[in-house]
Amino acid sequence: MSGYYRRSYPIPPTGPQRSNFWHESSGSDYNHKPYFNGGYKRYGRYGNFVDNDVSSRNHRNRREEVNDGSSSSYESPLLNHEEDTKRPIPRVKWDTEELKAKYHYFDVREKKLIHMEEMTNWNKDSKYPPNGYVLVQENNMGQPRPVFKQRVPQEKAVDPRVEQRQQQQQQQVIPPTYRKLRSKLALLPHIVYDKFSVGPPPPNEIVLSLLSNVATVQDISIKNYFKRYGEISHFEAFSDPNSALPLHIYLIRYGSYSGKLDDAARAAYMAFKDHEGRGCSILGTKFNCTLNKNNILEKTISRTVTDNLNRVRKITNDMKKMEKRQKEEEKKESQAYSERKIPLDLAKQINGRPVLVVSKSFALHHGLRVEDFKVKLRRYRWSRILDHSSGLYVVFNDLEHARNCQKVESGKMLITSRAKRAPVDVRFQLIAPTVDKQPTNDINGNHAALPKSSNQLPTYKTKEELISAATSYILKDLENALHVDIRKRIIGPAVFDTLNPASFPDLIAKKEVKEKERKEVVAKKAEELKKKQSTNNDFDIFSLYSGGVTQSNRNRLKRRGSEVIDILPSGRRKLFKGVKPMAHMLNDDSLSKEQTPVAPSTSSPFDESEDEEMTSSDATEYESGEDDNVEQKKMIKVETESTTPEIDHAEKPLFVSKKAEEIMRIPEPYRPSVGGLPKPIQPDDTIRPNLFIDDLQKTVTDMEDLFILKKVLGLDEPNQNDEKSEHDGTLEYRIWKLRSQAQNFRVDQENQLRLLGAPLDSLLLTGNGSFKAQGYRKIPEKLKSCYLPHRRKPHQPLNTVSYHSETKDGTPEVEREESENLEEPESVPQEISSSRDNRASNRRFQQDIEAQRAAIGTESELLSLNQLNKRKKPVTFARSTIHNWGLYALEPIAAKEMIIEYVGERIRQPVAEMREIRYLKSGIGSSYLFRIDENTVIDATKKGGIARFINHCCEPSCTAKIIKVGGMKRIVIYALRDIGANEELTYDYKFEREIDAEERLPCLCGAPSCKGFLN
Amino acid sequence: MTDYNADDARKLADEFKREGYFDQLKRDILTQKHDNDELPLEQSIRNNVASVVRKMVTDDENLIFKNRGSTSALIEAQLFKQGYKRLGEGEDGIQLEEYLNKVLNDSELTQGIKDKLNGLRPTDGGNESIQNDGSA
Repeated sequence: MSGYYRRSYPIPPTGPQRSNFWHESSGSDYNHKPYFNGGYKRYGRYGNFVDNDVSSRNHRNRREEVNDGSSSSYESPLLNHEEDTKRPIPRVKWDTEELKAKYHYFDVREKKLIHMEEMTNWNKDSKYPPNGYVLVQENNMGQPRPVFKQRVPQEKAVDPRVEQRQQQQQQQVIPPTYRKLRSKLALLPHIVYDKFSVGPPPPNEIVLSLLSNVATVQDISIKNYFKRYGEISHFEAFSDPNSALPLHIYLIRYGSYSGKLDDAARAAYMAFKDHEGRGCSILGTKFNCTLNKNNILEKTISRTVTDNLNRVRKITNDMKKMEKRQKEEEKKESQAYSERKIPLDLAKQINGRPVLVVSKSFALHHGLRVEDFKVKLRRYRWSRILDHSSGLYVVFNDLEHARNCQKVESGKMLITSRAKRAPVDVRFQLIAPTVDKQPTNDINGNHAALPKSSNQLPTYKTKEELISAATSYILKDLENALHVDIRKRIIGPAVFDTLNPASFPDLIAKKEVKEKERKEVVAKKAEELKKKQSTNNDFDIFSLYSGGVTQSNRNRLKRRGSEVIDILPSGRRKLFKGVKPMAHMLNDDSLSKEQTPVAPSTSSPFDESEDEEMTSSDATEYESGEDDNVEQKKMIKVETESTTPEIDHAEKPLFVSKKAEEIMRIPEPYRPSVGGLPKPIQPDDTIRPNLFIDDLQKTVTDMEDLFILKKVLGLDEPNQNDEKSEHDGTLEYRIWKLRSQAQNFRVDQENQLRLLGAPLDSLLLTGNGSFKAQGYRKIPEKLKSCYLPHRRKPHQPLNTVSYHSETKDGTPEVEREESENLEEPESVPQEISSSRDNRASNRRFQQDIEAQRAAIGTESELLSLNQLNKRKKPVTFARSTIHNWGLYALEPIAAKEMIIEYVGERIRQPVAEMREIRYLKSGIGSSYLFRIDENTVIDATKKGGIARFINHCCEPSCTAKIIKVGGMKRIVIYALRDIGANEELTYDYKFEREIDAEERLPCLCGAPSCKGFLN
Repeated sequence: MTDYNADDARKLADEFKREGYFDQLKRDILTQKHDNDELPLEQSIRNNVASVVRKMVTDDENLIFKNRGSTSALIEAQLFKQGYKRLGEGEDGIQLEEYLNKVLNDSELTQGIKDKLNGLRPTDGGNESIQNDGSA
């Protein structure tokens, strides 16, 4: 034992010595096996136990060794074969609990296989060769076939190719190579550079140099492009030291931020690898990408710099040459064009303004057009470019601009020549305006425009002349202005006003008469048509219904009198006057405008004559046709009469005998009736809340009543008489007063009922005397409906809207005319489209608009379309019974239809809170804030639609829904049920419940299920 | 330059208008009493127009049942034609053209304008004309 071993008390617990140290007591043969194996042992560098015998690492050898040293009780099924083929017997080195788990197939203590029982011989029936087999392809009758072949473990392996090659060599055939030709040395696998690495770090920079000649790429896009390989720690763009212009050489250094040193190098390598050979193209500009090693950056830069210097030298040389040539040309040109002038026919257009000229021959030669110049000179403030046979004239308004333009562009501006297909530089020649030229132009020019203009500008010698000239101007203007004013402001409006049809009432009346006549004719035609139809078809729906009513009336008639048949014609007509079939009503209306459709009520038979007058000849025709119908129906009625119960029988007196006659002689109320208890004959008024004197007097009808009354009051006749005589003087007055009071009260009540439809609430009648005497006091909202006219009739179908329209024209004539029009056969049947169709077409329209807007490409609000507006229903606002104003439907609205959008300012929640307070302070009692969601509120107080007038109701007719239109949340009111015309629209406000009693808002909706409060 | 050129006259006229004298003149002419009429010119023209139009309507009733705007435009053009010829017709017609000529050629009016122009000049500051004035 070496000192090392002894010292190695805290040796890393690896190797056998650990088990030795730990499990000395439980030592077994296996544990100490290594000690006895070789002659000596040594410890490896890391303290691992290494067997001296190198061959012991050989698997087979070790197995043998195990077999030698172990007297194993275990015998593998293969043991009965050769030693070589034996399954290795597991060797237990460390018998610890911990390690035992690893031997899941072998129990270390018991030294036997755990799953022994479950194991079976794979070759029980010796179906296969005992040593195993291999599958070999054999050529059987030309086809390859797999064949079992016994494995021979002792046989040495032979490379089949060797044999093949030998054969080939014999046959002098060049053997095929099985390895690829390597042109260079194989690359070493990438060795990760870390802190332990020695030597220079791998390059973590890449160098970009320009491949193409134009670079318009910005640094940032390059950076972004290379960012995908890794984090860029440094980015540098180099510029030419001579000219400070960018060289378009970039250095990108990657950093390793994750702590791994290799990351940067890897990123750089990846970037380089991706673009190796083909270069990288960033936004259309090509770059060469290399790793920055071997000073490639410096090399590239210096190369480019020298290149640039060379180029600059070349260009300067060229420029010198050019300048020389140009000067020569200019000399020539100036000689040639020295006397270039503005042609006379352009003089008017140029109008003495400075001009730059390009000679026509030059323009023609290169095929230059005006448009080219317009594009090239777009930065200059020229006014127009004229194409003339003598050249192209660029007209400027200002001489300075023209000079500037010439200075900058002449001889430098390049326009692609269409003839040469290469850019050529254009030279401009300036023709400055000459002030004194105009008179000369004037003198020798025979052009019309110029002399005139010069004549128009006379000069004035004195101040008087000037003033008179100004006066003449003014007078001229004044005349024009007067004419314009007279025409536009006097005659125009006067004509328009006089043409007002209202100022020609006679003409209108005439026209109306004509119109009426025309309508009558049309109506007649329609009637005829209808009559034909009705005669053809007896089971007309109108006659069926109306017939039923007339029949029942007629039956009664028949019973009353026996002379049925005689009365019939007139009687029938009388009935028709009251209960008319719909078709008849229409006829009457069209004939007499004055008559309003009367409510069905049996009218007196005396206005028969009037009726006669109104029916025209064809109306009687119609009636004769109707006669048949009636007759027929009567027949039917008679047949079914027996089955229907006769109400009239019940009214007949029960008694027919003599005694009955006797009873009948007694006045009606006093007649005996059938029943156990006596019934009061007089109605009892005394239970009424306010009993007046005359009521009392009426109640006392006979002696019996008076007797009972006296008894009740406890009055004795003799005593009272004396006392009464004392008061006799005032009694009459008092009685009168009471009576008149009662009378007044009744009249008041009646008036109140007639006016407002509801009795005055008793709470309002508390004081006696005038209302004024009671001073100011707050009247609860509920009671206001008693006396405020617009608050009457809560919760019947309201009439507030039509109330207004009806007062405008006494009879609903418009409606009637409309209905007439509908009856006209010639009228085109209105295409009734469903709301769904409407919406579809609206959507199409919307898409059209949107497409157009996209085409225009502006963000203007002009074309923005509120698609909800299209679906809006006709509604209006009017005074409401519920609260100040309400919204009313003008037309019947079907359930689930959209009615109106709640429009208003879209504000945030804090703004809404602030505004609410402000509105309250400024006295706006009504709240028109509608919450969309927790942070958005629609405020319709100052800016908003009429939807804000919709009141709350506990039994609402509508509901508010929040829908998204184009990504925006909007409030839309939908009908909950079918809503009639002129009905007030309501929805449930759904206010949050308020606990504080003072904060609660009373609900005045008056619905049967009213909760009493809004919140 | 001692001479005034045409631009100066224009400028002067513009200045005149800018001061509001022009509109005032116009208003005066339109509201002054017409020759022997009690009513101002404006009103009399209006009445005249109304009577003419009414006559037209009686000639052709359909006029009032047509589109009011376009009809009135047509009638207006008709009235304006040939120096308000239609308005001059009839016994109490206005010879508007003549009258306007007369008013405009009135020496008083011209003198008034001239006076105003004279009064205008000194107040006219920073203008080119005043500079010229100074040199003159």
